[in-house]
Amino acid sequence: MQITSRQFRSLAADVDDLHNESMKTFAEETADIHTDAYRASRRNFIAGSAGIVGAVALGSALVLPRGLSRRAFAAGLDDQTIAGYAQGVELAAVAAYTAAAGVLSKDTLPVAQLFLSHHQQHADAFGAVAGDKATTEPNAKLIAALTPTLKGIKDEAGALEFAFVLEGQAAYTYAAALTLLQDPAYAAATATILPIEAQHQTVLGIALGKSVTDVFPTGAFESAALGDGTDPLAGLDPAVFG
Amino acid sequence: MSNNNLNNDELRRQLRSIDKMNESAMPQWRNALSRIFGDPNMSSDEKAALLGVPAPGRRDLFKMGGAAILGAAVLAACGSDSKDTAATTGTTAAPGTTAGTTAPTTGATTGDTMETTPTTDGGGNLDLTLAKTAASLEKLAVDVYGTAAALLTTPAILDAATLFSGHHQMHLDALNGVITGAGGEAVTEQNAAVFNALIKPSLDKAKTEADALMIALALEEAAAQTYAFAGGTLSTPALRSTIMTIGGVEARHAAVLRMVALAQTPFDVFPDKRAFFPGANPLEGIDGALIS
Repeated sequence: MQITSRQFRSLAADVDDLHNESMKTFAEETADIHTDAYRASRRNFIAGSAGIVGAVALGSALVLPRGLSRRAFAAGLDDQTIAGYAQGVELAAVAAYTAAAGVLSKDTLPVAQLFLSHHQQHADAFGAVAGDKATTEPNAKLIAALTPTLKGIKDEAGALEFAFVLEGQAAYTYAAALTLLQDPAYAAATATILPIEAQHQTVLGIALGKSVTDVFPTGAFESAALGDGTDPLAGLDPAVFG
Repeated sequence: MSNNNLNNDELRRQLRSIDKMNESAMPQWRNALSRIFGDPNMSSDEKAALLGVPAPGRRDLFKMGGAAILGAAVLAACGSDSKDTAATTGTTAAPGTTAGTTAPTTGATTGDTMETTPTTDGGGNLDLTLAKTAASLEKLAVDVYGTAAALLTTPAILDAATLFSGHHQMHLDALNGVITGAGGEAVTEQNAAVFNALIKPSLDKAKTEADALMIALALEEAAAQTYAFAGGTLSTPALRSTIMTIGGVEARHAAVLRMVALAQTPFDVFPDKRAFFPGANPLEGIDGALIS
């Protein structure tokens, strides 16, 4: 798969447009979501029980060593919105792999294509349950954030390093999303996707010659922290990219 | 894209580093275990799913079969957060499956397939029983690693097995700390039912180092699958996230084993090009697995 500089610039320009366009609507959409209504609509949710108190305590003590962003909670995202967000992130990954493909060798390209196809399938899965939050476009803010790095990629190692970081952030995003998703069905889907992203990152790390330790960037636990995309050890915060 | 070969010194260095991380995590695990077993509001099913052991109130406990339990053996030993591989199945399961497991390779590809069984309180406080069962599986893992060590001829790999066995011992110690803290008697025997049903036949067939590595791989993948199942089954979001921050790491272990230890390709990490980790419950029943 090849991409010319002109195509790349065109993609970046499109991304910019998408970014600006989506910003108009997403803010409106999220503004409509109120915590009370959200809670009232939840199914299979045992919020308020002592059980969840224990679970949160467990999570905070054990699995969220880097701290979990509360911004997403504050936004009161419902499951369909989260699914739509995840779909947009996955589609952004598809776009990123496509953009970076031009510098990959013939041996590496098939692997990238496999990963790209995974992300497309993930996007489809999320989209199937996102309801009216489903999207057909990559997350514009994320694409905008990734574009400078994408533009700077000169060789295969650079492309793999870029993908290595992105895959990790995807995995961490899902770990954080699982703290938000209320419906077990949505959680089940996410739980089958997170390990794949983690394995993507591991494979890419090994291909880059990283040490065994380095393919476990957050140690014995996947990070469930969220960030603005600049931290490779934090997921992609819906409050930033939504 | 080719896999990266590590020399023995590098592998040892990495293993020491991982061991250090594991040790630092152990106090937190003890804390977590205490919370799990000390929380009267958490259902037995939730605890079982978290631990990766059969829920005592469920019928399928009694039809647990095959190597499914080995996913449990890693988890079951109470969510071994670490990257430990556990005992040996003795089986050389096909990629993406664990021997004896018939789990589908996709967990969710469409909305229609996103089905889970929300946990409900099965009733009865069987916390101690679950803890003992988990401990017995950890003991089993320790014992089997000890036996399998005889098959390991590469010093770096033997070091890894010793390291992983040590992890399981730490898990056992942590569980026993919880058990004795709750007034129970520490578990000192392996889970005989699981050993007889699964381990012994496989172990008898294992002849080479490669057999041992495949056993480790099967265990890691079973563990990851168990976590993926639990991640969709536990009824509290925080627990689901907790489980999957571990499950993702287990999946990484499997990838490392395939590419670094077994010199497999990236495509082997994703059998049948799978885009979804298996999310079906690998924990089917086996008579006598529950230690009361």
